[in-house]
Amino acid sequence: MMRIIGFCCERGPEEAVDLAGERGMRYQADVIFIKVPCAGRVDVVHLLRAFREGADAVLVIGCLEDNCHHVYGNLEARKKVERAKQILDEVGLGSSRLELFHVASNQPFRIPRLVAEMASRVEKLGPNPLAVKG
Amino acid sequence: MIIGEQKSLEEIAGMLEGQQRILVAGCRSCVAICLAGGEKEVAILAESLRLLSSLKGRGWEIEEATVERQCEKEWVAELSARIEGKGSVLSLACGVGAQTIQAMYPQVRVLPGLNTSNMGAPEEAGVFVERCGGCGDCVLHLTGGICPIARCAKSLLNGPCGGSQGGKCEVSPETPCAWEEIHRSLERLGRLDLLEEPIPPKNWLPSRDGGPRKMVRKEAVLTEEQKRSKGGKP
Amino acid sequence: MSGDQIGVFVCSWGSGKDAKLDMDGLRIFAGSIEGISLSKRVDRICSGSGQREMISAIKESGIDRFVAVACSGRTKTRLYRSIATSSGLHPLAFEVANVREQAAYVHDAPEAQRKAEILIKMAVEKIRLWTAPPFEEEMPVSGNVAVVGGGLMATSVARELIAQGMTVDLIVSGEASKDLPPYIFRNEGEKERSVLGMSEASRDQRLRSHHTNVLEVQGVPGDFGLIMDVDGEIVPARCGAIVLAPEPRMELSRLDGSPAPSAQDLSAQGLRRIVILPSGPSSGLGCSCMTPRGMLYALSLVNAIPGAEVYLLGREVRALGEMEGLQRSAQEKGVKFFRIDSEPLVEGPGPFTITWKDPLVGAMSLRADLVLFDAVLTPEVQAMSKVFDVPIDDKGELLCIDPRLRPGETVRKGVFAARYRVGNMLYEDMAIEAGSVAARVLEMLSLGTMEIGGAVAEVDQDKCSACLSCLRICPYSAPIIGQAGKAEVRMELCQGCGSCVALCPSRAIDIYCFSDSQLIAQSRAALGRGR
Repeated sequence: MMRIIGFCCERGPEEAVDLAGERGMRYQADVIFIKVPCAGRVDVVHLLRAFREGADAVLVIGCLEDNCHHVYGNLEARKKVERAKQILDEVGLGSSRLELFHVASNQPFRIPRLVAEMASRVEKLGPNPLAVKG
Repeated sequence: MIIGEQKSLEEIAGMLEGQQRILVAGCRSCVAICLAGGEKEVAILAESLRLLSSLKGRGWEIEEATVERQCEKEWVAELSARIEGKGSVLSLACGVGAQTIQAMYPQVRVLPGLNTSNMGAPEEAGVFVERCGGCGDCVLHLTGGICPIARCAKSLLNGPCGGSQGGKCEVSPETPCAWEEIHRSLERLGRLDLLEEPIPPKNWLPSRDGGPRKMVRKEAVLTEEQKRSKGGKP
Repeated sequence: MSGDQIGVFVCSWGSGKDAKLDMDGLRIFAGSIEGISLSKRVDRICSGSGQREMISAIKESGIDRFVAVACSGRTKTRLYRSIATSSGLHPLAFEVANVREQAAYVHDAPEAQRKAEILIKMAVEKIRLWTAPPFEEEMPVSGNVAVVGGGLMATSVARELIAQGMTVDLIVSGEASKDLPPYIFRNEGEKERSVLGMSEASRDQRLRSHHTNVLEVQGVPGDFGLIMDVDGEIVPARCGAIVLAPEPRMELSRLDGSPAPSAQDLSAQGLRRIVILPSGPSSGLGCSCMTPRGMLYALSLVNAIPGAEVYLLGREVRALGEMEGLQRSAQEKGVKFFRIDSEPLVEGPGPFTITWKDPLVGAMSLRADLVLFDAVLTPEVQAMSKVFDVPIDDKGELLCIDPRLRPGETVRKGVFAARYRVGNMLYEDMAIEAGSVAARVLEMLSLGTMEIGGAVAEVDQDKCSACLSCLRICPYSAPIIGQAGKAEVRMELCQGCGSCVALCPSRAIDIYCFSDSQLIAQSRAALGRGR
């Protein structure tokens, strides 16, 4: 069973996640969304820690570029994600396990697609060797 | 402040080869400010090393600790409980901090996590540039407030050299020619006359060439009697 | 609070796809988590009876925080807050596990149940580590608004606010704008709108006007204190919000930017052929149309100068309502109107030649003794920017949050800006902008109270390195270096985005309700790790 963590900003992205549910869309149960006030809240430490604790993939979902309620929190997220990706390559886990996406609140259809995208990356790279068994 | 940059993860991992219980030690002073060795960078590095260790089976047990200033014995003394039982300390402070830990804990191997580089300042958030050459004989009053030792690649005292092109140093097209900057500064200050008097050859003794420097401020030094009444060495 | 007095309330709702979850199973699962002293089914949390059930259960049990296992909490914040408050809990002492939209609706039966369990575990671990933030749900706010500016925009904003029951301190520095007659217009089906000159506005009792400068802004959003110098006396004005309405320079000017000469001056100089172009000489707010201002000037010229030939060039004539008649009068008096679609070429002086391409006729040219601009120029905002601590953007205007997201707001909470937009800003647009900004101010103040605090950032003074990173990154400039030489986050300005927390090199800042330890605990719970 895969474990995918999604750090999801409480504005656009969380609304999209809720709407995806309301509209009857389906996606893998392996993804779990954790709410943050803004994508900019996400720390490199949180990202690395998630992998250490066994996440196969991590998504960070912020609002569309230029549409951050907090002006540029999604840009801050990009800087953190890039740093974490570099480290993931250096330790040999693979930077493609981590990704930042920009989603608007009226784009629920993108949620299943992002989940599927990350799941397919995990399938290519294999599970995280540090994952909790079972 | 002191500017340092973390060594690559590869280099650090190489140093930790064969180590087991490791304390990553940070500092809240200069290295925190230049984003190289504060508590946050300690955490990021520790997480990276844990990932590496678990994935590659290195068997490292990584702990983290950060002190106010790693160059002060009192603060480094606070680490004793954390260093107890550790095989090595990976210091993310500047070279001074790393050496202080080694001096205070002679049995524990201290490894430098940073390459301590220079004395500089943030030009803007996240961009740190070298400013002071630490030569021990400051001539900023003669150069319009611009250090020729640190900012001129040749540390010329009466520049510029022929390599100065379009206001840039021949070392790199991004590096401003310090002597061009000195000229402009003295122009703005209305003191171009200062350039008419050449600066004589530098006495490098006050600089590193004279050996490790020691500065004594007598009024702050505790006398033997004071030390005794405090119960031994402070 | 120990954090081991957690209650879980599992909602039960109707049949259909919601029946996919075994809600009783979830209740049992929640009850088995360490530290849960109460796990209970509630029939429809959103109903009055459901809420009463929860409130009495909380009071009886002595829990100090709860998890609601239910549908999405997005639209139910007020509901949960009122349950918490009515039960004697802190209004923010709850977490919602959305087992409907994030589990039941999107997964099949066995996975949905497993996912719901994980969501519950995450919510429990998060609320376990919750600490009460500084929070005031109903801080009283002043119903008075300070409007700063001396022109039509400022008076329009003042008028809109007064019409909605607020009082206004109108603060005008320097010269008040020239008193144009009240300009009234109406779009079909809408009510009449007007913009007022200063003298009209001043007649309203609910408006106090001051001809002075603001020296300093004290206080917090909702309760600002503006310090003004009135005839050598320091006068404070208390207000809930501030609207900055700097007046742009809307004037006719020569090519070099100096003011256009009067009709009398021109007639004395013997100048006859005058061309008025629509764009300003400097970049900024251009205006590509022929305006009432231009037409009035043209009329003054033909009235004062016998044999004058006056030409107005522009993309369109923008003269609405009563001003429409100006175009007819001008044309009758011989003023010529030419349509241009792009910037004309101006050569000269002595005399000038203006060439452009007419879409129908082709190349056109005019000779003129004098060329003037009918311009809308960026207002001078340096002083305002400094006093009110609002940065200036790259176009030279007050820095506002993207108008698509938060129109009328500047990055400074409680400080709004009524701005002239690029293009054809005339009276009608001004009234619309004024109404829009006034509405945003009302949003903030009309209830008489506002919330302060909550999920805000806080600096641990012992760990802070005073590195200035947080000051530099915060979009709202909430952090300052305080008396102790360490960073402090001004709670009243913090909007809880957490960028400072993610950046702080000494991990000295954390944020309530989304703390580092909470996020890590949620992550661990999601990945099946123990506490």
